Amino acid sequence: MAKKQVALGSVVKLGTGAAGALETHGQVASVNPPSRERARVEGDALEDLLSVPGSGIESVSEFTFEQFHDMGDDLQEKVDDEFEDQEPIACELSKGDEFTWTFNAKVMNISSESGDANSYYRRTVTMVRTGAITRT
Amino acid sequence: MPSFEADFRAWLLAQPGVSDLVGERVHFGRVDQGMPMPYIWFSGSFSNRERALDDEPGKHPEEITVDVEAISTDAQEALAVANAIRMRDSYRGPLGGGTCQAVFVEDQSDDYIPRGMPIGADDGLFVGLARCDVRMYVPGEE
Repeated sequence: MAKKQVALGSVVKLGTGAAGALETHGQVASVNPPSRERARVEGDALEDLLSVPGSGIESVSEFTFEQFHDMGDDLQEKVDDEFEDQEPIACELSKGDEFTWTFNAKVMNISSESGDANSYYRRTVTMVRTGAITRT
Repeated sequence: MPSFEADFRAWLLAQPGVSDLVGERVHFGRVDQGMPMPYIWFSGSFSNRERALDDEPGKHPEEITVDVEAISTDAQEALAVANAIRMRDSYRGPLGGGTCQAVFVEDQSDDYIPRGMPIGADDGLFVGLARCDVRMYVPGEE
């Protein structure tokens, strides 16, 4: 039976390792899993009694995560490398034995927040999904 | 029958540094006069602030706020016990005989009034405070 899941303990892995191996990226403050949406194909016939759209192609969706930004960290620098490479990499969002979502995506946006004396450097990484989501 | 209080007490005693400082002296409810120091007193309040449409009576409270007081005649001792508890922020896993998805440890509110003093105590005592927010507690099997 379904239960509420606290996000604490969730793990973000990206294929930034050798040969695209998944590596755990830490200091993630929040995560927004990729959404799912299909295009709606309108096509009402004269004999239809209810306007039900057809299911079209799946729309592109984004996977975003906000992390505390350590600009000197080699692993976090790899996200910037992937932004420059513009190639899809493997992504995994999981929480222990509860769930694992895997999909491919490419880094499309790295948005940094301003930092003052009392705050931490943060950035939001936005990745665009390039393939299907495998859910286990 | 498992109870949250028993599980939370067992969890406190299992945390690094806590039993070294207070031994087995972790209490909820009343504290008798003459209780050796330092000791920990705690009290929990239960809430389910985010309800699902199919929630039914009888399920375990999903958010339990626990006021924790470390009481001693020595200020540094009370602070050391409270700090040992604060180091457990973001804990997740076994909670005594049960489990929880998270324990968040925060500072207590400024207007909090300690309630764990021994009955009839009139000596100056020092209190280290912490507020534990336990999420998704599930008791163990009976």
